Amino acid sequence: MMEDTIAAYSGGTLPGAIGICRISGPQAFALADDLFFPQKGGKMSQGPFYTMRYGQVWAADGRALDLCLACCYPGPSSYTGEDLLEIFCHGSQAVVACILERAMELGARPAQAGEFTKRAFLAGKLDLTGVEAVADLIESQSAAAAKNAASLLQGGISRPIRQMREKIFQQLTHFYAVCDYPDEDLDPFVSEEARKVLEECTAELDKLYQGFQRGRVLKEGLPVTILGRPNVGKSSLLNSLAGYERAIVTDEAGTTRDVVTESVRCGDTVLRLSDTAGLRETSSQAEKMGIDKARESARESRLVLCVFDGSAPLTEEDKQVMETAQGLERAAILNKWDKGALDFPEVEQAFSKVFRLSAKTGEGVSELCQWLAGLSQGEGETLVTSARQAALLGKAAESCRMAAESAAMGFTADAFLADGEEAVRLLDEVLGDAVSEDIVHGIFSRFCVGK
Amino acid sequence: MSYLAGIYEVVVIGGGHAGIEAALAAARLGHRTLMITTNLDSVGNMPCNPSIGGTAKGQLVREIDALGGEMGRAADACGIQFRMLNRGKGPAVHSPRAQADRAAYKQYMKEVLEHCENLSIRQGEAAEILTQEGKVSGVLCVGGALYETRALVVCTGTFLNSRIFIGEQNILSGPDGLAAATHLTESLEKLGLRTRRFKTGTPARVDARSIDFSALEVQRGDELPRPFSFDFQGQLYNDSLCYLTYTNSHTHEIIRKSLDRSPLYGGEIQGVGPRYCPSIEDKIVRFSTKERHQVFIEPCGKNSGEMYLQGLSTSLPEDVQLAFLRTVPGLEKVEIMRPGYAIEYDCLDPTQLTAGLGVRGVPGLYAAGQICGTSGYEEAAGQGLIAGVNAARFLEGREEVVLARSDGYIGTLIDDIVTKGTNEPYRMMTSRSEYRLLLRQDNADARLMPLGHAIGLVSQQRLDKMQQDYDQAAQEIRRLEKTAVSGPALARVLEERGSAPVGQGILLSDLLRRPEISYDCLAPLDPGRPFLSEKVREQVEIQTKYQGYIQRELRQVEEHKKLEEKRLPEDLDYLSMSTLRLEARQKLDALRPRSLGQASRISGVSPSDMAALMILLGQRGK
Repeated sequence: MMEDTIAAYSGGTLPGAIGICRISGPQAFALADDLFFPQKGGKMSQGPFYTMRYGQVWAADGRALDLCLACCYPGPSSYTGEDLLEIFCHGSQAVVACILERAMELGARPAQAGEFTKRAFLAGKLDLTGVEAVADLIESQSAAAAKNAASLLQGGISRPIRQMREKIFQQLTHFYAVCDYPDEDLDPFVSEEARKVLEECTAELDKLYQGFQRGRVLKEGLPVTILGRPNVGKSSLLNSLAGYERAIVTDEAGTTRDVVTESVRCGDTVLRLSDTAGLRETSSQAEKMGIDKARESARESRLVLCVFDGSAPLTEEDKQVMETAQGLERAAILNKWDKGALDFPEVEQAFSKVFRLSAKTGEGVSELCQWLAGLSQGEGETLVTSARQAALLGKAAESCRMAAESAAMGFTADAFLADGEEAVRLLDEVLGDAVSEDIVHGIFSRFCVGK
Repeated sequence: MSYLAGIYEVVVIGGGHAGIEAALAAARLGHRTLMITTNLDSVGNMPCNPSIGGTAKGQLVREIDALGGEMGRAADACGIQFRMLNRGKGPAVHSPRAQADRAAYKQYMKEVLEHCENLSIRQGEAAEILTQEGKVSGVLCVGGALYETRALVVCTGTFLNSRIFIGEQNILSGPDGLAAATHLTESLEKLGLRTRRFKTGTPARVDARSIDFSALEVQRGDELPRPFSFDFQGQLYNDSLCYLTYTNSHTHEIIRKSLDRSPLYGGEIQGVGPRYCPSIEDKIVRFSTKERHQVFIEPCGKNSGEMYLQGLSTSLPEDVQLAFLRTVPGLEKVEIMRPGYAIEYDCLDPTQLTAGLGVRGVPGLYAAGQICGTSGYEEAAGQGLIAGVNAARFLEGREEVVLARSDGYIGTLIDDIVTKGTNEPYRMMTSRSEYRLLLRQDNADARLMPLGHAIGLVSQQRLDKMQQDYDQAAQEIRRLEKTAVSGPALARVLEERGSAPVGQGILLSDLLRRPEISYDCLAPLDPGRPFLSEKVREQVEIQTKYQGYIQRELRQVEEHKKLEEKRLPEDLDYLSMSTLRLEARQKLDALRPRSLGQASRISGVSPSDMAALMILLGQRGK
């Protein structure tokens, strides 16, 4: 019997000195070869085994995610009794999240709470570990996972997921109500309607999944866009922030020459800072495109930093900047504080958070940095599980797609709804619902049935 | 004054659907068996709907038959109208049902019992379960008769301290005017068992001559009726008619105005009723916007003048029953022959049972049917069979037979009630099974007949005959997977069926996977096909068409199997497992799950508890 391959973070609290990513199952070594590239010697799957090897973890595009240690343990002589890969990476949430996400791209499935232990037990391997320690760890992991699920899903992501879950679930209960009570006067179940619902959900889940990918704080860090009219000191702010703490990833050109992005670390948090073209009225076609890009970048960011020249009165273009940032999560930066501080009642009124600093001298930058670090603390905590949840969401979309396709082919609902049920189960896992309503209960609460 | 009335190996208390299967199974396995029932004229009685089968229940009957039980054969012999429900909704939810002749059914069952070797039946009320050193040693009846036995199956149905409610009136009585059994609850409680009170109900039976059938929609049996039993040969009687009518706003008005006279709403009834089987007053309160409710009028027998009103279960006073019935089209002049009623009864909390339906802590004691918190004849019969088999195996010193959830609806039902318990009478539904595409009514024989044979209730001949069919189907499936077709004949068939054309040759199996293509419609393209019975053709078609889904469910079964097969030692000291949360320790200690799989389904046992438990077990093994 082929088990699937599972992956999860198996170390202590992050951030820490070292993080452990564990991948177990028949595909673990094949996956190791696509994930971890030893600096010396052959591929991971070729051995030597039970030996720490030094090398790089690669992302899909060949970018190095981390330079660290990994070890292959061939089954049955491993913790789980299966082929097992452990990657001992740097203990950063971003790094761990990237590695897990890559493992899932390569076909691993997020491990459920206690699943490594379950496999170890079934393989008769469990005397190796101290009981208390493992049980405690699992307890804390599942608690953390639940907390993460909740925190990640704030901010409007959980609502559409819950709605979709509900829509599919309604089709399930409807079908089984009609089947279990064929003599009741219930509205007939229409496969065609179920197909439509499933198709809608597929499309929406795809969109969410992709959005999840985009908006996620994995490789990129928290996306932050710097906006402002020309010459207010946007670039110097970027450089100042980048220089304040070591940039963990080297400079990288944006997709257009007009948006420059750099990953910057503030405390434990990674920011993906985008410096944009200055916003102004222009007749130049190229510059117009740059400005459009800046606006788009702002819309896709979690936070917009609006930079103003603190030594000069507001201009029309400054007001345009404020307008562009309207409705977005934002903070105001009154730069060039060293050159003289004016009062900006309009800015104070429009922004709940205003920083006065000098990008040039570095004065006040540490306060901004501290605020940024604190601001994204919550985001940081969700990093580890977000890869797991994104994977689940992707799988749910796939189940919906299969169900819709089978329905379109004319399969009977008892068959295609099996995939619908799988989708509901996956969405429940994404939502972190401890107890989800089962179909039987759903039937009784929705339909009038009896003898 | 008690006297020794007989010495038996197995005694079954109760002659309902559970008791019958339990007694027959034990006796057929060669054990001297006694069935005690309060009324010998009422064995196999159907106090509620006069039908056998239905959604999920039909699957249960097919499984009982495959395992060597009696219910399917009885239903075939006494059925008066046969239908396959949910046709067109897919094979996973096809369910056979038959209207049955109540009187004929009782007669049939009594005869089977009377002719069964090793089996005696006696009228009497069991009063006390006797034990020696904690083990079953006998049973004492109200009249003083004492039967010695080492194995006892309790199948008391709805009779324990049963109370019937009709409006303001309530009396100590079993269903259909039969006497309640008023002693045994106390005896069960003395053995340390927890009992509870459940409730169910039934509609009025009315005089066929008082119904205006001309106003009603007729419902007939299937054109090609299918029997329940593998063994059936000959022709099914299928001529009886059912009728359909509806309630209306006048009906609802009368009921609404009389709610204060309902024992349900007046608070007299304490028992918990089933949500899936609400009375008409329940439906009107809970679904107040629904303008009408469906009513099926079903005959109680081939020659019976009584008609059953499915959908109108009620415990309202008789005068209200008559008044609201007469608002229903076709029933304007209706005469009630027996009023509807609610019935409240004692039963056991089924989490006190093992997965083989043995009572934990009392060796030799088994329970089956409504006493275990279920409802329905079919649910009862399925449990009765398993309890009877396990009582027999107990005597033989053999391990109890346990059906896995993936083996059938019987396994699912028992696992549900003993693992999760139930807060209302439990009814089987297709939505309760996670393996619906595997547990079909059409393949019940293949799933369970080998087990029935291993148990000793199915003959080698019967098994071989079944196996032949499935071998033929397997061979034919292989042939379809190797036979390609092409050309204009293929194009014609595809066009007729509105199926997408194919460029080149295509395997017959691939064609059959298309939902719009049936096995039979491929006949013109397939001159080399063997002659196959309808049963075999059906298997070929379902197994090919749903192959992907079936295989996926099989994989899931495999995955769970490992946990299901990891047995938990009976002597585990859960309470001292400090790494488990307290709730999990207590639940595990109380339920004593048989396997890790069962443990994982107990509510209150979390994945981390399971992990900790596995670690402890791993260490224990060393």
